[in-house]
Amino acid sequence: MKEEIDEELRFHLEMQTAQNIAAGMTPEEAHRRARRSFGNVQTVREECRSARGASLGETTIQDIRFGLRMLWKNPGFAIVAVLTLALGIGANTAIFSLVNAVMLRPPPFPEHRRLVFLSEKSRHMDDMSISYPNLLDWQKQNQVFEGIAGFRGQTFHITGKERPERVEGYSVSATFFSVLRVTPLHGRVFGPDEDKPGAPLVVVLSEGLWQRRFGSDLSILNKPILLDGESFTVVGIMPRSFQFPRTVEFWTPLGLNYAQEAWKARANHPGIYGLARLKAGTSLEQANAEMQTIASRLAQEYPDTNTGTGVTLMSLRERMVRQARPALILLLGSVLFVLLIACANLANLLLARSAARQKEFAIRVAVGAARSRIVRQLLSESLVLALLGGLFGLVAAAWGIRILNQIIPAEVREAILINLDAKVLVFTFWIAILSGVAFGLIPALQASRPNLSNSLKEGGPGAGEGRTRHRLRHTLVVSEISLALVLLIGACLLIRSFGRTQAISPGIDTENVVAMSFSLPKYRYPEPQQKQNFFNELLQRTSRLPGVKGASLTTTTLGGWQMGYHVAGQPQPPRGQGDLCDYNAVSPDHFKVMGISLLRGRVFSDADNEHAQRVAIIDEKLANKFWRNSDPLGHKIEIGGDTNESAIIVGVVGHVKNYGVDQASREEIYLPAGQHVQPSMHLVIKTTTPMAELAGTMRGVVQAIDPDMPVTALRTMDSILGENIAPRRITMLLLTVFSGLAVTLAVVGIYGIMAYSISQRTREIGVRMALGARAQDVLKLMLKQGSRLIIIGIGVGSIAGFGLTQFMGRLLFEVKATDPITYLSMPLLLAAVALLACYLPARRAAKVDPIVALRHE
Amino acid sequence: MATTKAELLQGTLDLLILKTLNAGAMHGYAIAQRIQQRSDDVLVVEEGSLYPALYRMEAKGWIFAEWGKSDNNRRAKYYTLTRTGRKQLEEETAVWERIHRAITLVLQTA
Repeated sequence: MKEEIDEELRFHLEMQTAQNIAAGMTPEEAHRRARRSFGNVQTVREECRSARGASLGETTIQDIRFGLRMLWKNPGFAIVAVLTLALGIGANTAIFSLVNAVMLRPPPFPEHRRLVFLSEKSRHMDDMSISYPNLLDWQKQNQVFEGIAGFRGQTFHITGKERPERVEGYSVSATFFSVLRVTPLHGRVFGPDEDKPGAPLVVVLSEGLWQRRFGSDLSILNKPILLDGESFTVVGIMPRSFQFPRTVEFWTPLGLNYAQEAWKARANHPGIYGLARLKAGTSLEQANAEMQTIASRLAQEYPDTNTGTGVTLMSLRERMVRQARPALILLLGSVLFVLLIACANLANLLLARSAARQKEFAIRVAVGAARSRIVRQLLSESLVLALLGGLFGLVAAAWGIRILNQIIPAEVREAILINLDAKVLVFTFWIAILSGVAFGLIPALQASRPNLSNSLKEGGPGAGEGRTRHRLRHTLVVSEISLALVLLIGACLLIRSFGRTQAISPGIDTENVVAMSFSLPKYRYPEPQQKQNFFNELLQRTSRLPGVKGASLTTTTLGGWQMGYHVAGQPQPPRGQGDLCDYNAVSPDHFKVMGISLLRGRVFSDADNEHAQRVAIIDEKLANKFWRNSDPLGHKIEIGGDTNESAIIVGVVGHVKNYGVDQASREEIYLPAGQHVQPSMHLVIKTTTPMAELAGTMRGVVQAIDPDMPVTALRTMDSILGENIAPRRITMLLLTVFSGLAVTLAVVGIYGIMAYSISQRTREIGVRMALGARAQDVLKLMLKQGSRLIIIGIGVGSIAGFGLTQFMGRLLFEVKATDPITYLSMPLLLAAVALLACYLPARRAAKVDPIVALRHE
Repeated sequence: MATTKAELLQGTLDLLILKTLNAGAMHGYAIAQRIQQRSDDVLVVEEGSLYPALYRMEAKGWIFAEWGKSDNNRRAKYYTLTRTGRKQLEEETAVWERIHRAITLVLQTA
C-alpha cells in the first residue's frame, strides 16, 4: 500500500514539474517548485493512510515489529521483564494443570454427569459402605436409575505356571460396565446370570495384567486361570484407559460372594460402594428423594438392622473432587497473587520507561496522532512482552509439572496425570494476554496523555513526573506489599498448623518400623489351625532374624475395621444406634513393636489362645468413656453385632490416632490374634536392617514356610502414616514457595521504585544539602516516604489477609485463622525486609555530593 | 495571475471533487487542475489535502479507484464516481445551496 501512494504522489509531482516547465521554468526550478508546493511527503502519506483507515492487521503487525525492536534495544529490561513474567505465568500454568488434572477433567465416561456415587448413611458416618442385601433391594425397588452397580476392592493370589502374585482388583455387579458404558478391548463382560452365587466363575482382566502375565496372548480368552486356587474363566480384557476408580488388574462378579453367610447378613457392611446412572430426565434431587423413601421402607421392614440408615448420593464428579477442592483453590489463588505482584512490578517498570519516552509521545500527539493509536501501540508492546513471557512460562511450567508429579504420592499419580493438555495451553495464552493488559494498560493510558508543554520544552525534565504518575506507582507498590503479606499470612498459618500436627504424637513410634501384608487363600488354608500355624511360624522366624528388635502380627496397621461393641452392664442402645470402635487382632508383642504405651493391666501373652478365656485390651479413650474414675479391668465387653463375643478387659493402652493426627478417631479395642485368627494379617517388624536387605531376607523366610505364598512389598510405618498428611504437606510446601516468590518480587518492586524516585529527586536532594541538610536528614526523609507506603501496604494486607483466611479454616489444625502470632510476626517480617529495600537506595542518596546533584538533569 | 489560496473546509473539498468527477474519470492531478481552472484560479487544492480526501472518500465508497495509463503513457490512479457518490453529490449540493442562500440573506441585511 505504501508503494501505491508513493507512486501516485510521484506521478502528481512529475505532472506538476512538467507543467512548470511548460510555464517557462528551468527543469531544476520546476522540480524544486513542484516539490515545495507538495509539502511533507511523509505527512501526506500518513494522512492518506489514516484517512483510508489502515487495516487493523497492518497496524498490529507494525506495532508488534516495533515492540520487538524496543525489546531488542533494551535487553536488560527485556530479560528482567520476560523472566518475571515467565515465573508468574509458569507457576500459574503449573498449578492450573494440577487443578485441571484433579478437578476439571471429567470422569472419562459418556454422559458422566448422570453418574452418581452411592453409600449408606448411618448415625456415625455419612459415608458407610453398603450391605449386599440392601444393595439388592435398592436395585429392585428404584425407578430413577438405569442401573445401580456395587463395587468392592478385592485381592486374589494368582498362581499357575509363573511366580505366585498378589493382584488387586474389584468385585463388581454385572451392571457395572453398562452403568459406566465401557466396552472391553477383547471378549465380553459378565452378565447378570454370572453375578449370582453358584454361577460359573468368570473374570475380566485388565490390559496391563494381560500384557504382563499372559504376554498379550489372545488365546487366554475363555481359558481358566487360578485365582486363590479356584478356576476362573477369562471372558474379557478391559483396555488400559479404563482406570476407575484406581488402576486395578481384574474384575470379578460381586454376587459370587453372596454365598457367604457374612454377606447375607443385612447388618454387615463389607466395603461395597455403589455407582449408578440416572435415567434421562431425572435429576439428582429426584433420585435422592426416591432413595430416601426406599431406605425408610427398608428400615420399617428390617428394623433390627436398618433403623436410622439412609442413603448418601452425590454426583461422581463431586465425589472425586470434594476432598481436594479447598486446597486447590487456595493454591490457585496464591499463585494468582504472585502473578499480580509480578504485573505490578512490570507496570511500575513500564511507567518509569514511558516517562523517558515522553517527548516522543508529545510530538506524536502534537502532530495529530490519535490518542487511542498510541495506547494501542503501547499495549501491543506490553502484549508482545507478555506473550514472550508466556512462552518461557510454558517451559517453566513443564519443569514445575515434572516436580509436582514427583511429590504426588504414587497411589494417585496415575489417576491424576498432570500434563500440558490443550486446556492448559489455552489457559496459559489467556493468562499471558490478561497479564499484558493488566500491566500494560495503565502505563499506556498514562503515556498517551502527556503534558505537552512540559515535555517539549528544551531542557525541561526529560521525564516529567506528574502527580498522577507518582500516585499510580505508589498505589502499585502498596498493593504489592498487601498481596505479599496476604500470602505470607496464609503460608505462616499453614506452617504453624503443620508444625502442630508434627508435634502431636500419633500414639505410635514409627522409628525403624516396617510392615508387609499377607493374605492366606482359603483353598490352601481352610482350617483356622493352618492359618495359625503359618502366622506363628512366620512370626517366630522373623523374630529370630539378626537386627530384628521385635515382630508382631496385626489385622490392620492403622484403623480401617469397624465393629459394633457393647459394654456389659451398660444400657442396651436402640437398634442401629450402637457404638462403633476400631478393632484389631494382634499378637502379644504388637504394643511393644508399635510403641503403644501400656497404661493399666497387661498385654496379651501366648497363653491367650483359643482354649483360654476370651480377653480384650481397650484404649484409654474407651476407658475414659465408661470408667473415668474407676478401673475397667475385669469388666466384660461384647464385640461385634451378631456374633456377640464377650471378652474380659485385661489391659488399657494409649490411644492411636489412626486417621491422621488432626482427624477424629474412634475408640479402639484389641483382641488377641491367638483367639481371632484372620486370613489376612500384617507383619510388623521393628528392625535396624536396611529395607532392601530385609526384603530379600523376608522373601527367603516366607518361601521357606510356603513356596507358593506371594511376597508383598515392605513399607515403612512412616509412609503409611504419611499417606494421610501428604496432601496437606504438599499444599503447605507450595504455599511457602509462592509466598517466598511473592515477597521477593514485592521487595524488588519496592527497591526499584525507591531507587527510581530517589534518582528523580537527585536535584532536590542536592538543593536540600546545599541549604544545610545533613546526610542523616536526607536519609530520614527518604525513609519516611518509604515507610509510609509500607505501613499502608501492611495495613491493607493485614485486613485483606484477615478476611481471606477465614476460608482456610478447614485446612488448619489447632491454629485459628486469626492466630495472633502470625498476624504479629508476618507484618513485622515483611516490614523489616521492605524497609531494608528502602534503606539501601536512600543511603546512597544521602551520600550524594550536593554539587554533582545540583548539576544533575 | 495572482492566485489566492483560500482555505477550504473539508466538506466543501469533497463536494468539489465529487462534482469534478461527475464529468468523468480522472487522476488526482487532473482533478486539482480542473478545480483550479474552473474556479478561475481562486481555488488551489493542496496535494496534502487532495490525496487524503481522495482516500477518505474511497474508503466511504463514494469514488472508485483503479490504475490506468495516462496520456503520456505513465501509470496513474484514476478515480470514478460511484452511484453512492452521485447521491452524495446531490445531497451535498443541496446542503451547500441552502447554506449559501442563508449566508447571502444575512449579508444582505444592512
